[in-house]
Amino acid sequence: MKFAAPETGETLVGMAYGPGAADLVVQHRDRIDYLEMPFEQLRHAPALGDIQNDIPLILHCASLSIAGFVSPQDAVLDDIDSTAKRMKTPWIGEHLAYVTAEPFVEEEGRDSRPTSLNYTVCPQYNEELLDNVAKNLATLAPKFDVPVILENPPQYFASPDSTMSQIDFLRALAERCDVRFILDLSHYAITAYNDNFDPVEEFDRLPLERVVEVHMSGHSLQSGIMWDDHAVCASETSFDLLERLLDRARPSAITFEYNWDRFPDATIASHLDRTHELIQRA
Amino acid sequence: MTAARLQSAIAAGLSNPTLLKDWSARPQELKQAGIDVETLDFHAIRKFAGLGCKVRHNELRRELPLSFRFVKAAGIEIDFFAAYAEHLAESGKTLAKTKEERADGLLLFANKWLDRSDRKNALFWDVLQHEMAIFAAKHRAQQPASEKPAPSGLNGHSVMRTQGTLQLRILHFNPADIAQALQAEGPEWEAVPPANCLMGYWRANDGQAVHVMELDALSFEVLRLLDGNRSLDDISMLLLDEAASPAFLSSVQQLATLDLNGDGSSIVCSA
Repeated sequence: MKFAAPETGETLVGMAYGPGAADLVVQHRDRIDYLEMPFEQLRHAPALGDIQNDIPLILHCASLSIAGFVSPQDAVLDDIDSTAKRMKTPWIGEHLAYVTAEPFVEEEGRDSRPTSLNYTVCPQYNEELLDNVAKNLATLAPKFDVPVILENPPQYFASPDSTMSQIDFLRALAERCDVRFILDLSHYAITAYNDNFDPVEEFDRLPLERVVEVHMSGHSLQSGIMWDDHAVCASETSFDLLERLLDRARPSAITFEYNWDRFPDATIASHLDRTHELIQRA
Repeated sequence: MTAARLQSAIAAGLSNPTLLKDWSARPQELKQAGIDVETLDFHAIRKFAGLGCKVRHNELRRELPLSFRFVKAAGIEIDFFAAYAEHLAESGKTLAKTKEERADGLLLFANKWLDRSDRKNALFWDVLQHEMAIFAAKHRAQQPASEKPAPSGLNGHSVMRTQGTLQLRILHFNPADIAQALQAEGPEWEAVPPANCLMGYWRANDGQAVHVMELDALSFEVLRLLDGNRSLDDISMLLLDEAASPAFLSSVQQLATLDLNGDGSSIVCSA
């Protein structure tokens, strides 16, 4: 088994697990330090974890519903904990979002189980949510031996209940809690487009010094909305922002989420090499 | 409104997009829950349900690479999957468990949803059919191999059938032309020429490779009608209104000796 243990000041470069990951590891052996493994896939197919014989894994989750009001089941928490221990992941990545909510209609005869989605949803940004995320973090983080770090979600629609922007929310959360972040640069660019602000101008307002991991992937514009798209390469803007981040902070890991489709090996090689160069130059 | 209540409404709408339609027409239920309906972006939430539906079909990307590339390049990816998510909710269906069933469900929905008088939609329909036929030839059950290969001298009484897995499709554009158009940054759909393509997709018994063939009209119809029951005279009567002529028998003989795999196996055998 191989383990990811970035030393202080070191930045690892990895890929998100997806179809053809084993081939990727062989093909780009010298470029990839780790794979980021989704807990939900691993839970469904534990044999996927065998790949850790060849390459270290970092655990990524979409099950804690940290911005929601329905607590994850104990069995899920136990599984995340045992997976994290077995994997010796340096942290557990989680979305600053919700995947479960109370049923909307609670009438007699109607399904009273919470609504569980298969994908994370960006929450509203207000004081109530801030309290809720801080409370959830305080409850959930001690259940694990390693830190839970939170990823900025893509914002596709304005929430009626929001009183602050996503950036202000992240700043407020960083002030209130001892929290670290995954900065997904594509999610950031998506939020900027959909919420109509300039991603470059606003970038320095992000709590960059709290960023432990960076996600790089693509996005695409359809029906007037910018969408997350892991079948598309990271944009030039994302690389520019990565360079700017590296001037300011030293994340421990940079993960390419090119996992919805098969990318040409030459593209993967050039993006990984470019990233290694940016890290060295910083 | 409480934050939890709002999340409940959004999650319910994403999980069952028909609710979004109902709420935008009759917002009373939401208003009663204290949700400011005017500020809920139903359009974006509905499309977001489409993104979720699309992501859940990612495992089909390897089987249907051109189709996925097409919907993205044509800018209909989110609309298509949002409509599909709504369709599933309206019909009370959940997403199928297996890849094969998901692919079938997608094709059935596309057949209903696409307005094929629109060129872009017609191109998408053909490329989807083409890739689905390859997928089906790869995964569907096979006609067992025959111990009786087609005789060298066929006559009108000969009864034949296909072996392996054969899929037949009529396309109105050549898939190779669509694939070519998709290589461009901004594909020019109008530049893809119409074509009448009679396609066969065949995998030999125990074979891995799917052979894609463009067939002439007679071969296409003969393959469609070879069922192990009809004689060649019967088939010729159906197609040409006459008993099997020497020219007809010679065409069938050619099909029967077509060795696509290079190992002596053929599409057609004696019943």
